[in-house]
Amino acid sequence: MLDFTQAIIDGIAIGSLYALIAIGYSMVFGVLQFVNFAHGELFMLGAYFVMLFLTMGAPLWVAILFSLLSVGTIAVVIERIAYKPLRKHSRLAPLITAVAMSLFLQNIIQVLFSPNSLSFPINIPGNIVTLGELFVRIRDIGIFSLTLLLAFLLELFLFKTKAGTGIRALAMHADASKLCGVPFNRTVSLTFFIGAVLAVIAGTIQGMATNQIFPLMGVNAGLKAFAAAVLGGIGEIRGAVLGGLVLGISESMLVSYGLSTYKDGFAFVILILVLLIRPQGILGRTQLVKV
Amino acid sequence: MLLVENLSVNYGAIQALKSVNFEIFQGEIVSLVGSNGAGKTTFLRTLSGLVKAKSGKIFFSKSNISNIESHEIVKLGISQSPEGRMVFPDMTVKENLFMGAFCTKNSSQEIQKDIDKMIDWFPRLGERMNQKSILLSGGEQQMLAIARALMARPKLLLLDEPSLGIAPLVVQQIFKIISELNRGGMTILLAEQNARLALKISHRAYVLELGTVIKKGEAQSLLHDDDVQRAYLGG
Ligand SMILES: Nc1ncnc2c1ncn2[C@@H]1O[C@H](COP(=O)(O)OP(=O)(O)OP(=O)(O)O)[C@@H](O)[C@H]1O
Ligand SMILES: [Mg+2]
Repeated sequence: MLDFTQAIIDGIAIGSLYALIAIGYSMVFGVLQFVNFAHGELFMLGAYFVMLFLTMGAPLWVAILFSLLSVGTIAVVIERIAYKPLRKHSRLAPLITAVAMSLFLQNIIQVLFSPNSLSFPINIPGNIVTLGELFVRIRDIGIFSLTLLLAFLLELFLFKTKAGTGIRALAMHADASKLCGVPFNRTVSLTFFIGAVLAVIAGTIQGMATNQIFPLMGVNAGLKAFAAAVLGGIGEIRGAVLGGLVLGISESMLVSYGLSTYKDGFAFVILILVLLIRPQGILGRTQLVKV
Repeated sequence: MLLVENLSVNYGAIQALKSVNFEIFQGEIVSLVGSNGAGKTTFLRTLSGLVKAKSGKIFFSKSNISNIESHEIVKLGISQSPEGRMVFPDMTVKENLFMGAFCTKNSSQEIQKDIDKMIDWFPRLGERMNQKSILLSGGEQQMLAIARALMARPKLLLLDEPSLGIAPLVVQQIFKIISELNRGGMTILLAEQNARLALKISHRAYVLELGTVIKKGEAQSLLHDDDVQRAYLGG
């Protein structure tokens, strides 16, 4: 029981990062029924941009803000120039383009920076406190709380603002939302921007917690977050958060029970099982899922 | 008020509308009748900007709206209750009505006043205000779709098959309300397979067959037209 509880505690930080990335997959899927396979690269770009602005002498909050704006804009531009023109013609074409886009972004960062990992200029120390027999990293509690706060703010935005309501309406019924006056292109862009913002925050946390960033850091994180989004019910914000946490904690359990070799493959086992047994995911509704 | 010239619409190789000419004046109810696949829905979707025309022009209050996006068209004053109702399933009735006013700049108080008007028109919706719209019956969803379209305070209301899949008694109620809306000054374009019902409440009508207007005229005279009777009114 002690191991079990400890594994949960150890898993929430990584689970939170999966959750933050998964929300982006989920929202974009919600509005376009499209999986942005380049989404993991936004996480990576976010970390690189923060590092770039930090080395230019910006204070951390400015670096993060600029990175959010830059990567958010990149996400919107990618959608406009690479996905949008293909949308009318087939569902497969944008998917393939997204995979190509992800390779492109990985490679451009390798060229501009270095194929090797770089050390991140700012780091959050991993101080540990003991709670009885349990070990808790204060940092992990912070990451978890921040994730819940961001998810809460996002829901507030989606339910209380006009633009957010537009996103929900578009996700429920695209044609009906257009007939009600929801501007389609602008709303899609906004969705990509929000997804990018959360991915950038996750990338920055990853950089600060592990102290290093590398051009392929978005690959693993992206695939796992995608699995998490499907697990929770793609299209559902709460599902993405839940799926991310469940995946992070499951991985940490595998490690604590001596099965760490299988850790990275576990997301795919989950992905396959969910698609076979409950394709709509934990919180999803059947009609929304068209994977 | 609305003038359509030589409108042609294609879906890939399928020609859904072939050079359709159409006109509706302020204060009229005009119906567009025709059987399955005649092109009624395509016509309405094109007017609302959901489908792009291959050729032809659409004028609304004298300005060309042929290449304008859907969300701008609602703002100009053309609102649609679409085929299949398309209510937002996870939103309550009230939220759906609020969505109807999305295109406006109305304040919450003004929107609330409009909602009260909708409840006067459709008392059934009043009882269901806080229910998720997916839980409504087909007839109630149809009422909601019409009410949602009215929330935009349109100048022209497009209704696509409001009788589809609804019990006859409820259809009667809905058509009575449509008629009353028109007497209250609303200009209405009604697309219907149920020609008898549509012609009865309309001033004029167009008969569409395989994407072409084959007849048009006063609704009363079409109701007694031999061809129309044979093809659409069961003899
Ligand atoms: N999205 C689409 N893609 C391809 N063809 C379509 C599409 N929508 C409609 N069509 C075709 O266009 C033609 C006109 O269809 P439309 O739905 O406009 O007719 P309708 O008069 O509304 O019919 P109904 O009374 O059944 O609603 C039909 O041949 C239909 O098969
Ligand atoms: Mg139709």
